[in-house]
Amino acid sequence: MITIDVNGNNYDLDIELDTPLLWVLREHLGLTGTKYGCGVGQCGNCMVLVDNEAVISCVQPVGNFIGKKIKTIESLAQNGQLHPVQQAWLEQFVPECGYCQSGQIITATALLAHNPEPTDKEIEQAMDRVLCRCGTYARIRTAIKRASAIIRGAKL
Amino acid sequence: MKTPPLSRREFIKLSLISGSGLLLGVQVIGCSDSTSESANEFKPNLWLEIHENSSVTITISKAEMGQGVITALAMLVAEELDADWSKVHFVLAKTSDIYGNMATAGSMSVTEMWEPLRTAGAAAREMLLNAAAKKWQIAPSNCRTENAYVIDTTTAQRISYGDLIANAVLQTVPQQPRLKNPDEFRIVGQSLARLDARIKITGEARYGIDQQIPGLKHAAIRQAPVFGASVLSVDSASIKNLSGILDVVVLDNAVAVVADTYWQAQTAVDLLKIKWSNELSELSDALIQQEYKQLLDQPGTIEMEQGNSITGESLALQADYEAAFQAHAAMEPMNCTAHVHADGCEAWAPTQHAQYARDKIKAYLHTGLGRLLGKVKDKLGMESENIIVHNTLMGGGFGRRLEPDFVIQAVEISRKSGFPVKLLWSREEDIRHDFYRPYTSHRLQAKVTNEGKVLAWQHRIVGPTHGRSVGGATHLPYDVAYARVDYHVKKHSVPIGSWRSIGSSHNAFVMESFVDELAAKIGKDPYQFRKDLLADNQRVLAVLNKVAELSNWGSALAKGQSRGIAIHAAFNSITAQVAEVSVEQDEVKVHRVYCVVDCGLAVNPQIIVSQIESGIAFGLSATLKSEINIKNGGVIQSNFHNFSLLKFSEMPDITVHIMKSIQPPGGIGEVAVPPIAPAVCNAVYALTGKRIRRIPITPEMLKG
Repeated sequence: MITIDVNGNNYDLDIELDTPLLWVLREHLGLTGTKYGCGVGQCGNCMVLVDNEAVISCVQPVGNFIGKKIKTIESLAQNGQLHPVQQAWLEQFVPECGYCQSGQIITATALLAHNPEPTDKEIEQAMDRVLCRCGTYARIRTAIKRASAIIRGAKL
Repeated sequence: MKTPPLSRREFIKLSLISGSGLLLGVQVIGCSDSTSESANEFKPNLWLEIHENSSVTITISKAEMGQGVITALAMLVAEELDADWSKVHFVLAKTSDIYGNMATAGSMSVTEMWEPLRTAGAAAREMLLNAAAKKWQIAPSNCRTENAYVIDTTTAQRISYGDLIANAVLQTVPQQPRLKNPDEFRIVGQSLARLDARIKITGEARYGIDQQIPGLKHAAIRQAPVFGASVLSVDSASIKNLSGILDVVVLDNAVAVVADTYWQAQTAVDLLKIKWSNELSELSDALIQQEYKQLLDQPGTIEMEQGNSITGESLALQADYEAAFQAHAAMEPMNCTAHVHADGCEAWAPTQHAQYARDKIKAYLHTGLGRLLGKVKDKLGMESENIIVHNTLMGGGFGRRLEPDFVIQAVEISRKSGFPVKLLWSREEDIRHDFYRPYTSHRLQAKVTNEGKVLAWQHRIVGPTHGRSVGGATHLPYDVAYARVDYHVKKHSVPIGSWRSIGSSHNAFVMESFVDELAAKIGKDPYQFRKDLLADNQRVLAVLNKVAELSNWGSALAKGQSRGIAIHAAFNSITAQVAEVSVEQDEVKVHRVYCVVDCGLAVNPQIIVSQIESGIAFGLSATLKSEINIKNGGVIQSNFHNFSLLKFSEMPDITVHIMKSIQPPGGIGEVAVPPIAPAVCNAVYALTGKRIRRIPITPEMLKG
């Protein structure tokens, strides 16, 4: 029996400790917003926030996350109020098929949390970790800049 | 034919020419039944339902895989209905033949549904308007509609659609409702946000992979590593002590493990010792290449021949081209949830062709072998109504999901194991068991005069199927005195499917590269050369001229950069692109792409722009990044480390211009793919003098 903290809730789970976090989120906790894309840490579609860092969830076993604060895409909007990154995503018409967008949004959220005004180069470095087969990259770039403006505006 | 159970008041039926996708018209085949099950809704036809609060639910019969079809189709209904767009909702249609052709392919959805969906909206609007006129005892001609209200044009009194429901259901169904002229549109033509955008950024969107049903078990699969091989034996001893394992199911060419969780199933399937037939196969893409090359020397079956070869002073030119196998690699791997039970079969499938999947399920359930397996009553599957296929949102499709292989597997696993199962392919299975863009070989020959007249154009194609190899090759837009396309079909065991833009994906590369070769041969500017050959093709010429203008063709570029141009007409649209590239350390970097598209009337410009961006990214992966290779009868690549996709930092800046048009809408989902490979390769030639005759481009091609 282990306990993990996901989206502010503690969950007691009776599972094999080598199960990757992704499958615990999706199948044991029903949090299907986090997606499976490759299973080997190559596509970033399975990104979640772990202590505010964007972390690939398909490779590391759930046992590695005990005592850490995990946040998934489902926790970003609060009481129906979208996170600034999500708000910017809507404004810039980002999603096409939408499948990778949880991973994209999580990664952008972590980037902006540490670096509220990233340069183009810094955006590329962060976002190269997440593949999008629909090619929404240009819109993501614009949306990150827009989210940055919203976040910094809100702080003023 | 038995009619599936329907709401009693559904009366508008589509008549579609099966298979061709051409629209015959909308037929009124019944009448409204006022003894409805509820007085709070108005469901005048298959496509829409109006609720008490004037909100509208629109039924989407085409598959959403990112191309924006939900929004575009809803806009067609909402336009003619004069709905309040802020109160428009969608529901995915349950698979049924009453919707006509539900296949989502060939960039046809909006073209195909343009008239029937507008007619459905217009018919409902007319009934609402007549209902209001009757209530007010005025002539219908004194009423108009706007934003889900009927308005009395004399007094300006208004009544909402929701308040008219009880009266509207009593109105006669208009046989030929009036459709708006394009200058009356207020929804069509707007860059409205996608109806499915919000659920896709909050994690609420449910894709095939997210389906949940009571008692669901999980299945993972290992398919034969050699195409055409089958299972000889399975040794399950290695998984005996694993927890959660429920069944090992042997299929003809695959073995599946059913477990409580996906991870348990996948872990177990990786440990199974499976013996396959045909473990030694010599098939490789090198072998295919060799065979195809030999066939290029022999005349093939004629696909198209027109004009007469003119004698005169001309320069003859010949070049051979190749395009590699490509995988679709949609981000959501193949999956299907299926439950075969005593009364029938229910499946939740991310498929582009649910009707085909349903028919395949039916065929499977009827095979003698399937029936002998027991657990299912014999009556099962005799009627299509007992087989329900639910469409789901899809994490990309690109043509891969036209094939129902993974659906049939899930049904077979559920039937044999007795559990409701969700079958999920690992990425490795997805890359290695695709239906690929074919490997094709091409020989181009032409005669061109020093002034740039093309006296003869010949294109020979060798590939494993006809349509997917040859498609697009006859779309030469230029004025040539004589043109001939011929082909050889040489089959092999690698599965072949439709890959975004199908034959045009490789034929546009070949044709537009060779046109560039002709221009270079006589020392003419590639844009000017094309322009002079398009004098009789004004619609194509306008697109070409616009992309030259947009890209500032001929102006100076940054040092080390060059431009390439390409144009292709397919899917009832014309698309031209100019790519700006540089080459650094034998690698091509695409900095910027200008794209002009004439896709007829633009239903939703921002969705069109995003489809152009998407097509360019998709085409760039296949031009610069990845290919599928065959060795020993199977696929070498397995995951994104060796089948790499375009990354964020590799995405070029893209500028899109949509030509103004009131022609009926053409296709958009695939049209940006064909021109990008030749535009990039022509730019590489302009920069380096190296002509790329095989895609994808490799560093070896650029060395020295």
